[in-house]
Amino acid sequence: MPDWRALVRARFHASGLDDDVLEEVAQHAEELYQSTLMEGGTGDAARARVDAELAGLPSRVRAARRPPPRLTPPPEPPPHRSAAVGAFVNDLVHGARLLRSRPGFAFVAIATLALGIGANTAIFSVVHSVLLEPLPFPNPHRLVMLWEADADDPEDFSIVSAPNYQDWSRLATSFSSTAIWEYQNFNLAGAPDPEQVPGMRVSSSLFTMLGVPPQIGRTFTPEEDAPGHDVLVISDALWRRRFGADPSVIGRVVRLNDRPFEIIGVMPPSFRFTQARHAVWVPIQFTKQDAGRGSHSFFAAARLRAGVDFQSARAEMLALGRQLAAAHQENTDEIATISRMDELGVGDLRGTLYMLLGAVVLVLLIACVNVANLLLAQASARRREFAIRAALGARRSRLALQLVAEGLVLASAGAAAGVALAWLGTAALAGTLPPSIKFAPFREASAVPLDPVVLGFTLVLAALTGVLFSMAPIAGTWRAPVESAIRTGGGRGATTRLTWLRHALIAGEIALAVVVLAATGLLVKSMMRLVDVDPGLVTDRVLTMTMALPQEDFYGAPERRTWCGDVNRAIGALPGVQSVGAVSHLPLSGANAGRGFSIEGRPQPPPGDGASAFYRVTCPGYFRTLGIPVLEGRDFTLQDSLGAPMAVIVNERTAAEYWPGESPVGRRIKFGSLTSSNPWLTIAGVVRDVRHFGLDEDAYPEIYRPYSQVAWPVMTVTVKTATEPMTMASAVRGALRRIDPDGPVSNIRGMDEVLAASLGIRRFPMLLLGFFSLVAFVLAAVGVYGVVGYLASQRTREIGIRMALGARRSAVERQIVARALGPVLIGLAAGLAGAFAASRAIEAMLYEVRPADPAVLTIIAVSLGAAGVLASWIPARRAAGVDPVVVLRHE
Amino acid sequence: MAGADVARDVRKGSAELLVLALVEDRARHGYEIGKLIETRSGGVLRFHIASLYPMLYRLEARGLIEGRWVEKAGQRRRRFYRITPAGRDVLRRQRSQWGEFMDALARVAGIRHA
Repeated sequence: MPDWRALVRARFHASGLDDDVLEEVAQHAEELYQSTLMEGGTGDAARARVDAELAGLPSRVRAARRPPPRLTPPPEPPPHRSAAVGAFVNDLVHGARLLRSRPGFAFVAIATLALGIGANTAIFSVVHSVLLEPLPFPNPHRLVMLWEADADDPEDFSIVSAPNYQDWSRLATSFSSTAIWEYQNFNLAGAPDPEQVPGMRVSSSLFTMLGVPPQIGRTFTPEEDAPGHDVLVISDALWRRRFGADPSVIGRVVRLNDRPFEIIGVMPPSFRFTQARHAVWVPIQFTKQDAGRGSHSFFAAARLRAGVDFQSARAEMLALGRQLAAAHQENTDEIATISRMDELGVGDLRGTLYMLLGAVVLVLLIACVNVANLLLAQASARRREFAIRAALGARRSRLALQLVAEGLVLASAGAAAGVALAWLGTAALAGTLPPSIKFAPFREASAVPLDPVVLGFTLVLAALTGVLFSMAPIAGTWRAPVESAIRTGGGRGATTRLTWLRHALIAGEIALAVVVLAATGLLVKSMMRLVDVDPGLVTDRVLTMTMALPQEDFYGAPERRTWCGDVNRAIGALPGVQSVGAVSHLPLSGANAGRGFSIEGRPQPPPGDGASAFYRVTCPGYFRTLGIPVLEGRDFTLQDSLGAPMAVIVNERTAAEYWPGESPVGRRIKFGSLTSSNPWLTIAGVVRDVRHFGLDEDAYPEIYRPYSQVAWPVMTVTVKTATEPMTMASAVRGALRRIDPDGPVSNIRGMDEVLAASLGIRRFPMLLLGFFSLVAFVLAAVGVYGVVGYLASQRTREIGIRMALGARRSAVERQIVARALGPVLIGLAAGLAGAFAASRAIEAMLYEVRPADPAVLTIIAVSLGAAGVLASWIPARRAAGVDPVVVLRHE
Repeated sequence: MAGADVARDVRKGSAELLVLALVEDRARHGYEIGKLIETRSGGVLRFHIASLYPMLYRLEARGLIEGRWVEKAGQRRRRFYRITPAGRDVLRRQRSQWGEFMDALARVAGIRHA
């Protein structure tokens, strides 16, 4: 039998048929041959039959293998659409094909844009949720906060006293309703664990003023504002977590702060007042302690009456404030004012967030410049195409539109990738958000960015970028003479105008990078200054945890008199514990309280001018645990009990302010006025100042009292450990549970963490800006590299000739770098000027660093300049490495 | 030889239908497809190698069938063709078109099915 494989191969070997076809056909030929033989044919006849069947195979296979007609032809413009729109749609399709045909360029361009757009989308989503989104209440722009303020500093709002609020509510005509509340933590008893739940006492008017009804049950009646109604409204989250979303929870009695309360309502899931963590609301039920006009403990808000605008409401409140100041001694020097409720808690963030948004916009601009550079290189290569089309009669606007279409395709791809990046980035961002942003009142800043407004922002941004950077190549190709472009094929002769544009882009890119880097540099330097500040205490190896104690009367005698001793014994006995203490207001944690006091032997000062200090209650061992030295006198001991003389310890600042040049030890003070019935307290010692409010805040006068003589309902236990503090957490917690099985323990963290958290609002913008700077730096360097490389490659022939004529390689390299340095230096200069202007905007965020800090600006200018030299030297070296012979032979 | 002329014209128009119908239920190799067309048509329809394979490749390029080299134990490897979902759609359409066409022929020209 003939070897059909060999025969088929021999017959068709020059026809270009691939092996698969030959193999398949040979098999068929063999079987056909055999079956012909079996039908009784001779070998020759069988072979002739197969030969006949194979005739014409190659051309038919080739015809069959040609790409099939497309199943979906390019969209024909429907008749109602104008020809221009149809052409633009075709341009978009064409643009997409062009991108696909240049995967390397497409990847770099899309990745660059995605970075810019993604960072913008992520930051904007935070800005949107914190600053732009309306509050989750009906007609939110009609809600205002009511404040008292110092007459000397009307913008320094302070919380209000109950009697003043009651007078405003009664007298003001600008408001349709008013409400008042005080934040409070509640101990919720019962299974599975006793729990400390944040919430507030509120007036019954709060829910109606906000305009939010409960999802089940009811809210408070005005009658329940008076004592004797132990009723409770809870949040949806607490209802689900603690009561399994059981609708029959209404009417159930729970123990709150050791008293029975009846649950009467559950608020809807969207109700955030003021933060998602707030879970219980009880009636306000003013007590005797709330009756003082000087007792500022409450937040108050109001809804503007229809037809009343913000300014006239503010004017009325100012007038009311003057009236009350004249009528009541305690209100002397106080004014009353209002602010928009949507600014509560976020006013200070505005600057930080807009600064970050500004920085990411700069990064996006740099990304656009880079992509414009890439497109410019593409445009040069396509000059001939455009020139020919223009010569054939295509209108300039038509060509411009095509470039815009291509830019839009690129930008859309970048936007899609950017949204994906933003989606991923938001998770990372949520982790770094400082509490003041994460828990901004009424907001949910950790929300995913794919909200319609944010998406719209991204799309607008993408469209703008698309148009913006596609304009650059258009500007470059605009007026080039058609014939010369055709003749030179877009080659060397026609590049001078584009060179100018490229250099301008480099300068712009460098300038933008300088601005971002300078802002980062200033924040980093501030942070370095700040962490060098001595907080006045030692945070190393200190474990802290907060414990709620049963205490009805905040300022009264302790219900648990032996608590300090119990804690000291139980925790002090644990192996690895070096000392134990406790304090009512942990430094750097944000907790605070203050009180006015009078000094024995001195005349009663006029109202508003009395002595005052921040107020702390401690257990013995607290100062030692936090490394706060006792400078004079003595520390508290367990002997400072209710039977012993009442003792206090003051800090240096108190001593310097009220006993300048003398020792306060042994002097006596009392809280309140000289005539009050409060007991005299003897100063037992002086301790060093602590920067209670943060490293960037001064120390203020503080007065410490022993817990065994005066109680506080929430104490933070502090433990100095021999090893890493968090490893002791469960042992310490267990010891506290043994002392007080019903007391909820929370906020378990190391003092280092407390310090770090206090820097969060500074660290957050610094970290983000740092990241943006890195991106800006890399993009700028890549931009310089790309442009210099491109320009050098255009000059290959010139370089070759010069080297053939004897120019030294190093001289050629130097010349290329020197040419690139011009725009880099111009960019640096422009950038420094821009940074100088922009740094004024972040002045408030700086700490002991001037906006035009010479060291920071010098470092940035030098490093960017060096990056520019390096980025141009690499392509210069390559260009100067050409072999003159090769270059000239190609000419 | 009028029968052969008719066969050539019909063959051109119906080749696609025939191949798709043969690979509808199971994958077959090229020789088998050619052989089945010949035997089932009682020898009226026949395809030369030079027509059959280009047609298979064309159907494959259009995504209606899919060819794959299959190695079976004890046999040499062969290229088997199977129908694709798109091919099934085309087959369904062609069947109904041919059905209508045959009915029309029957009504107009008085052709009766055997």
